[in-house]
Amino acid sequence: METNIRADRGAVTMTIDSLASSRPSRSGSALRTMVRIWPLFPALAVLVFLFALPLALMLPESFVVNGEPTVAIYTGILGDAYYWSVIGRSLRLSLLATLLCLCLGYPVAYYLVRLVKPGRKRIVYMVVIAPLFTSAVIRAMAWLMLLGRRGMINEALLNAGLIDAPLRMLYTDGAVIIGLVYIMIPFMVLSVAAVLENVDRTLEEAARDLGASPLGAFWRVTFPLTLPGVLAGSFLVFALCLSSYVTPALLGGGRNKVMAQLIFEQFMRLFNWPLGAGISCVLLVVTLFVIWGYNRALARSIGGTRGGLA
Amino acid sequence: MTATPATTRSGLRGWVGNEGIGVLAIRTFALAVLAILLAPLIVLVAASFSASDYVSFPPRGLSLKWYAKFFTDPAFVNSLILSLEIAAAASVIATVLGFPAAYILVRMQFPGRRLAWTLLLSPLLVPQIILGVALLQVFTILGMATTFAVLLLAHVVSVMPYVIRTVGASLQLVDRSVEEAAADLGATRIEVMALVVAPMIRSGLIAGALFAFIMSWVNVEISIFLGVTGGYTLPVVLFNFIEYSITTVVVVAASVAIYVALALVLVVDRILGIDSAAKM
Amino acid sequence: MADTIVSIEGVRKSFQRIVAVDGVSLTVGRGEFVSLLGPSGCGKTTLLRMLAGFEAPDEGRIAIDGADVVSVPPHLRPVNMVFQSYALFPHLTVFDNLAFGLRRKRVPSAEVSRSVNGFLALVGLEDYALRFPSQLSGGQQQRVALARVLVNKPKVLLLDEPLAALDLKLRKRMQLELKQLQREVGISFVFVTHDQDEALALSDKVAVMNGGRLLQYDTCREIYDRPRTEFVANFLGEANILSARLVERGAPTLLEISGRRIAVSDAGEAHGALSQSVLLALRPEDVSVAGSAQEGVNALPAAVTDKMFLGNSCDLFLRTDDGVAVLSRGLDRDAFDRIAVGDRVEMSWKPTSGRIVAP
Repeated sequence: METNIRADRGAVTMTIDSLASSRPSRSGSALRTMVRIWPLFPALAVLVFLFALPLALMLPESFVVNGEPTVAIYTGILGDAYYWSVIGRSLRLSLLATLLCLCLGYPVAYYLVRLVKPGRKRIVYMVVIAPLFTSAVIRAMAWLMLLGRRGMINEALLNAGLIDAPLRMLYTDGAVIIGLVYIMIPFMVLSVAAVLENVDRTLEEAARDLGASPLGAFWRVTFPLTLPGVLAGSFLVFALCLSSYVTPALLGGGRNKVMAQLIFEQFMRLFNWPLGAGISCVLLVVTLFVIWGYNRALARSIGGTRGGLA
Repeated sequence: MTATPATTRSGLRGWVGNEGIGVLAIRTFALAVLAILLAPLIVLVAASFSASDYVSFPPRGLSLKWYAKFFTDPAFVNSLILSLEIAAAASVIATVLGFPAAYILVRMQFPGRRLAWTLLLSPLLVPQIILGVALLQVFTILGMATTFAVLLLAHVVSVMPYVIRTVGASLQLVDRSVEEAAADLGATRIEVMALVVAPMIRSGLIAGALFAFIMSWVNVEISIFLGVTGGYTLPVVLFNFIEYSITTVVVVAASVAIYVALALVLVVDRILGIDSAAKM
Repeated sequence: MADTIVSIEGVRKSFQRIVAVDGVSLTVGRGEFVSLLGPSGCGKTTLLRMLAGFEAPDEGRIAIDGADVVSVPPHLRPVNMVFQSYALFPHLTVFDNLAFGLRRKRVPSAEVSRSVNGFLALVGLEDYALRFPSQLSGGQQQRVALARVLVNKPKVLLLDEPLAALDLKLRKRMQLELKQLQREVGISFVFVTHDQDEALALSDKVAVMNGGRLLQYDTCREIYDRPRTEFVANFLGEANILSARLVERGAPTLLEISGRRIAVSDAGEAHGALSQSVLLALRPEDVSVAGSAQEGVNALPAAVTDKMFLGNSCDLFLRTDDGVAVLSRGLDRDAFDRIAVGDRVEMSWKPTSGRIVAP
């Protein structure tokens, strides 16, 4: 599963909380500080040696060709229409998947928070979360079975006499989008639901009382208040789509690729590691940029709730 | 609001409530989406009971023979065991390392604290596939064979942030004076952590460990680069198979993974409550 | 008390740029009950936490039983603390909460049981040994918190507003229990509170703090009778503050308020220079209202602006010709009934009642 960035919400709130509760401690020498914080070091060591260091070794490789420092890799990538088309395709698919996720996920979040009977809430949460506990491979595989040339959807349509020849659904952009949306909906639902849980439902009643129609009350009161969740969910889903490998690889076929597939290909099949590192760099920059937007959205939602209470 | 005659309204109340057609539409739509979330997995599991090698739904003839094949094929069984072992070990190690780290980060002030936070959570920000290739490369450069230990360490890196995040969040909720009381009563720092903090944030620790287990269990993007001598994890094996073709025994393997996932959902619900887990 | 158990000398502590404790010195005698009294943010809790070892002073010395403890971590100090939130261990039974400290000292388990049971009996909770804190009432939790620290026989017990979470009735009862408990165990208590009544009810001595400074440290009686500053006069009990001009220093010291001579028999370190303005503090119960001035009593004309019958006291709200509001509580009920709002009266007080206070 690819829940990487969701984490960051925790990081942001956590920093803010711990700043608020922070108490400066007694001043001491650097050595004394080191002794005091030693329980941090084993975890930090793992992170340094198995995360920071590998990345620090790999990414600069894209700036060296035949031992000479150069940006040739990047001029190569950015000067080649092929790479642009892959980057463009990655962004396009991710954007479409994100929008679809929002359209499908928001009503589910609303249903989950506002409409479902208290006793059934747990079951709905289970249905939303359970798919997250299975690998993307398995979820893509289910769609392979459904969308294939002789897959279940084609069989059903043929049997019903609605079509004469099997539809070509697999190995298209459409299939990739379906696969991505399917994987990402839970993230969108959980992001929106988390914010919606904190929106006072009497606000909607007050709007109704003041003469708003049900839809008007939702659209003018509840929806604007859930925007932080919508934004956070959208950035999260977008970033996860952008860096996903399994779904495009299995449902998109080999011909039209996304960035993650290029990286895999360069490292595992073509063994052009500098180029692979270069594409990784591009993907990383784009992803971090999206995450930056996600953090901004979250920070605003935290500030927003505070402002609302004050 | 749609005006509904009182009689109709009471009859439909369970569905329509007092709000009328708009709410009914949302309900129907949401239930449809939820159905779509479940349907592919149900179809997959149903197809695993098929008697024929060729995947079909509804299954042609019911049979458990492909399950028998799965559980007697060492390649599948080994990958299943490897996946479970890696997930369990990574979760334990990540918790053992992550809990003290989270404790220090939440409770103490020191220069570089923010940097340490960022570093410890940053594996969540970097696309998994990039982490995967970076690890592949560093191990290759070092000439290390991708042994069990190497794969395990890679998983520890990618799942430890979940432990730190979850444990950190529950530490925020602990009244700091309880720890001070323990120190005041003569407990050393290790004793405070082991005798007071750990029991108080027990559910946070369990949640962190469970998340770590799940994240390791579903991982493909890192495992795919680090095939262990003698096998791959289950998701990677499945990935390699279905790039060629999907046979019923592969569907059985996927179904077994789904059973594990369901068991995990029930464990999470039992221990943490699924809705509070969703908010973590 | 000659025998000193805690000695604090010139302690300063600041957080970032905020000075929390500013040059405080005080000593606590063996067996004394001392309250640190002040409004929230006055530095009393920080001072207490420095005694416990949770904060280190930026400057100054803290000695407990003669030994400097500034560099001693909390778990090695011979003091224990009762927290405002009680800080009971939620995952341990009452018995295990009490045993926690003894077990850290590796006390043999037979002795742990004996001590714990003894202290459970002392606070009347012997039947609750196997309960968890969440299964106890607020008052019971309070007793567990007390017993948990007392069982360790600390040299000094530190209490951080331990009664603040209780309702009024229970608080009164716990005050009494606390006082009795202290007498029984004979340990010095340092008690932080913002509640003046609580401080008066419990303490041998009170240290009044504001803005990080120690304003006055004395017995309750001394502080009530001879407040040194306007703040102390107002914070411990109620006070009328009148602005006056210092006319003559001596016995008695003479002041002037709206042309009248006012005598103050004990001016203390009479603050202010001759013919400069000073502040006169009067306790409401010392202010009486009479038809005409008597000999040897200070008097000022005033108008009655309001009256309030409170059962155990009769409050008259007065306004002097200078427009200063004065509260009088020195009236009996019959005299109270004869006075109507709007009446012109002479308010009066004895020269021994007034105090000159620093602003």
